[in-house]
Amino acid sequence: MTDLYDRLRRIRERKSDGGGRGVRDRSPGTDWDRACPGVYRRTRDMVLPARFGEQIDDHGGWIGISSLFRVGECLTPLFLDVETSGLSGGSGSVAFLVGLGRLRRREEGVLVRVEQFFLSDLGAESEFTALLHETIESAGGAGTPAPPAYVTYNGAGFDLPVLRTRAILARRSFPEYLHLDLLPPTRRLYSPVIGSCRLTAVERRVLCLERENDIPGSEVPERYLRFIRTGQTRDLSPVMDHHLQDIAHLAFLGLHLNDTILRYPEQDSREDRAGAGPDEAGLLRMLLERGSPGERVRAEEILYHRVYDKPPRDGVEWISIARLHALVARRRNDWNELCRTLQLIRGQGGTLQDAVDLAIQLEHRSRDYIAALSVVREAGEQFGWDAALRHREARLNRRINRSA
Amino acid sequence: MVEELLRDLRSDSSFMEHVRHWKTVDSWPGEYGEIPRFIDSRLLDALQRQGIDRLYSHQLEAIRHVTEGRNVVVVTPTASGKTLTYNVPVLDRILREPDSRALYLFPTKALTQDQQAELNDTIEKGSLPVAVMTYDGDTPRSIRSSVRTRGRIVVTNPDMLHTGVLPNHTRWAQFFQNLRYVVIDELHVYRGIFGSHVTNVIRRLTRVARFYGADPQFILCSATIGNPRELAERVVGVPVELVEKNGAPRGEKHLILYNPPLVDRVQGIRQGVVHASVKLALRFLRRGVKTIVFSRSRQRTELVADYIRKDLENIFTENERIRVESYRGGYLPSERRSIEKGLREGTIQGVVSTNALELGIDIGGLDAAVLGGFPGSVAAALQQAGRAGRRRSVSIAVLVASSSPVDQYVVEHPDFFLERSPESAWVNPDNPYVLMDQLKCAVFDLPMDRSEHFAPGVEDLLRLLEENGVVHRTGDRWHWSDQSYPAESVSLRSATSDNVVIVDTTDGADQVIGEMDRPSAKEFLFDNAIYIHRGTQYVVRKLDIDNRQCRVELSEVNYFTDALVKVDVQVLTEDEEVPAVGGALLLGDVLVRSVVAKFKKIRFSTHENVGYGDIDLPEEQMHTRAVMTVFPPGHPARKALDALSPAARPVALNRLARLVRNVAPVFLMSVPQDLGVYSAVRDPHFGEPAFFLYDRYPGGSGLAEAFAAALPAIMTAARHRVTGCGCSSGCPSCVGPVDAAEGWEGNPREAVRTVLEGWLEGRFEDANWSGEVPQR
Repeated sequence: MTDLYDRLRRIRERKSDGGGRGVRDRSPGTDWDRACPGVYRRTRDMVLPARFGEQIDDHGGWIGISSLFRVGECLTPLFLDVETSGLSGGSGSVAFLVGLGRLRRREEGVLVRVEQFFLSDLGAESEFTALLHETIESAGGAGTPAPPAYVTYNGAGFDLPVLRTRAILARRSFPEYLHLDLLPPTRRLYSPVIGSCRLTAVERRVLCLERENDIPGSEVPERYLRFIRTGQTRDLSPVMDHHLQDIAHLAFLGLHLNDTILRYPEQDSREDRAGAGPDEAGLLRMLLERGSPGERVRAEEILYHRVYDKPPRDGVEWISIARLHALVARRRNDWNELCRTLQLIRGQGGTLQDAVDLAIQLEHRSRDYIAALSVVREAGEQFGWDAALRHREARLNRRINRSA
Repeated sequence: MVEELLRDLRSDSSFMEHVRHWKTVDSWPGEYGEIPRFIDSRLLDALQRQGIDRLYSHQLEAIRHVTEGRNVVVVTPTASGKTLTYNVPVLDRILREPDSRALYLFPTKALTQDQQAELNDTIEKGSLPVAVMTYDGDTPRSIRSSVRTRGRIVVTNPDMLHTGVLPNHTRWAQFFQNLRYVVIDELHVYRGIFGSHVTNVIRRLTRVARFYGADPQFILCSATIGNPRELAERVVGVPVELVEKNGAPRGEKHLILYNPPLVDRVQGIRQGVVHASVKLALRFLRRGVKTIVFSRSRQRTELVADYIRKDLENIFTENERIRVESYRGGYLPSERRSIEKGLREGTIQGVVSTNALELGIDIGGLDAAVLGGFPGSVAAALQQAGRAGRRRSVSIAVLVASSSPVDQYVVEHPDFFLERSPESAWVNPDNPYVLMDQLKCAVFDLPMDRSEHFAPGVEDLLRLLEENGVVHRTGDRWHWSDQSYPAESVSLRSATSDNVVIVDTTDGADQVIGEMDRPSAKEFLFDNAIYIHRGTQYVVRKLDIDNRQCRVELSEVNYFTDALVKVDVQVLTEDEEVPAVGGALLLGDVLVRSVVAKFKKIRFSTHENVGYGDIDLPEEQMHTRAVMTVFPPGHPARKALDALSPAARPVALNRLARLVRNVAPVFLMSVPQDLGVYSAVRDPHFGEPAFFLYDRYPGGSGLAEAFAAALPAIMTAARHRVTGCGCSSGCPSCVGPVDAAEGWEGNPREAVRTVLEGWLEGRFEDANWSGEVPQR
């Protein structure tokens, strides 16, 4: 650190080069077109499974979208993904690579057409942002039958705030559309099944997609900045391909999630599909919370059958479904059904809370104090006594004595 | 209670014998005026509900400046209603223009929270539609976005502004577009290295505001310092009006300068400050007088609190129900908050603190303050004394002098303390280390144009950053081109953001109890050092400099440790020759190499030396600013020096340098530890005798420049000290006693006197060595 002064002296002795160089026009690769100085773009078509064809109309609109996504029944999706020069956010992290994917249905199948925009000199950011906004606006502008929407993976937390920041710095206003962030529903449906819901984990475990020669996202900033410093494009092409795949897989995931929800409870039996299915309780809960009236009724029916028809195979999964069924009963004020379900849960194990819920029902609804007391005592033996449980036990004893 | 105590002290001749000065400041009714008519009626109403129907004259003056569009700095002693000076104009503006925003900056989180509580009181009483929100490290993530969009007054601290707000300014776009006022309270704290960083943070704030088309007005408040306006203008970079005539009433106040008895008249040794402060504090506390004791170091704070508690210890009376706590930096925030609360609520009767409590942290009214040693500046002494006493009650403040030259100077020259205007505060925002760090953050905030004048010399720094690859230039603009988030690794509170974490590993525990900057760690946390934290004693098991970790364990020994530092200084540049009394000074850059090789073990209570130990740590290097005093041939001081025996010369020069270092803080806003000192009978750079005073912060915090400006007064005070001291041949209060270890047993006081007087006789021409300086 002491040599700061020495380094400064050396800098001063070197002649100033006057003005800096203008925008450097370095192409990131031969397959890229120059849009304006310092800004490049390329377009790639990525093929998706033909079975998604029924979700896409002739204008590239996405149709028949489940109400679980809360974005309406159809929209014109812009699958969006951003790569930045730093991972900790803030106005010094530049969005240097932005991709927009749009759906197309062709005779030969379904594809996502990905347009990538690359900033090859930091000084051209304002032009870069202008071009990006122009493209977004034309994609979502008049003539598209369904309303345009950004579809992202964690876009609420990352991609959109980054683009809004870059827009402000370029003194422009970012085109605000509907936004469907696939991360939260993916988490609810799959994290009990696969754990981490990073896009690469989801595409491998759920979509059964493998990437070849992929790089980890954490390497992206360093590779880009090396290009900025040295002008060498060697490290860039894996970044470009990584980004391209991100968008293709994002579109794949969106269509797949919708397909899975719409087909439920029908199992996907095709041989090429060996990926993990959704957490059933999670899906049912989402249907109950956000589904259309029809979907809610369907979910309640499924719940009933899951609780009574099939013997509980997997205790844990059955219990979470049974709890959901209990919740439905509670909402309907169907106290008998609630009590019956809680008793079933108790029979399969359950937690202290399940036992307490049952005791409450027995005490306050059925007024069966003796049954309630025995549930409390069993729970005390099984899970250990706490103050609340003791309190409940004492009160039940008083009630029994009083009625006796 | 206080009145009784005063009577008791006055009639105690063994106490009065050592009182060098007793000043009574009468109570004063204050000067008031009507609240201006143009103030929004809702605000008038809110003030009335708080019982405020008129304002102090200084508040009115400040409000007038602000409403007429000028920036203003208000000098306000404790309890003079300073918050209204900014709350009134700010609230008035927001009531009229509900989109306007204001930013309040307080130096610490604790002050931020106090301030929000006070503002909310006004707002709630008047049901004013103004959202006041705190934005600091404790603000939950879930409400941060609502603070950004809804907050009309956002209360924060410079650190949060630096790491949280500016680098994410786009999220604050609406806030910045409508930013009308920036309030900076406790301005006097922004000096030295902290002030140098904060000045740059304000430069960044102004720059970001300008990006959004805003040009906010500044309202600043400062405790009494010598140059409030100069400091304010330096920190905010625009002209500022000064309001300094205080209109607030005050209660009767007694200021006592107490010089503890001499225990050894010949060697000039006095009863120590620690013992004298403990004795006084006990006397006050036992009378039920709520007392704060200030002590000069963290270590002493712990010692004093410990002695007081031990003395009170009595299980039968439950320590007479008196609870005394220690308070200092290095405690965890939760510990600090609980002590502050205890003081406010009265469950704690006494507190022993470092200057950490000088700031306006609300600890309620205290009756007495014991200043355990002159805190280094008149401004700080006034602040500490101001901790006792509020608007109406009688209060008492006692300054207990140590035997150091500064303290002795102060008690022997009461006018100096009581009449003279206090020291000036300095910043050096263009310190290259500070500027380099802040420049990175600024380019991260927004790309920087070549035509911007962020600070002098930035283009060189930008070229250097470009060479390192962290910024990238296109045309006349530099862009941030690194993946890091620079503010995260730049601390405003030190020139280097390099801390050692202190970990308690007693019985296999692994708990972080505090931290310390790396250079200080070498001095205080070497292997086998005794480290005291909240009254608990630890011994350092291992200082691991590479991993920035220090492992300590509980210990129970009867001594503490003190490192001996060896220093070598090498001149790097001579930048400026400053004419001064007795000749000229050189200002320039030096390389300071220091190594701690040994430590002393000092017994508690008696403070006798009970042994030595070795320290094995790598050398510390630092490039900084220094003032160099050279004794050229022909100068009267050189003649006086040459007249001494060869063995006496290094002693005289070294003692003179130390004396100057020790009295300097009286005129600079610093403590002796901020300045390093070095002398050589034949300095290799100049080939002549010389002594140097250097800034202990890398790159310099402005002290060397401040020193040069204050030199005449410093040299004169040094002469007073050396001629007026009551000892015969040097004592700790002047040049230090005779020390056989130096290889000369003559009279050091006499030797220093002749050299110093020689210096003061000199003229600029005598010392004008330009042309004679051998070039390297």
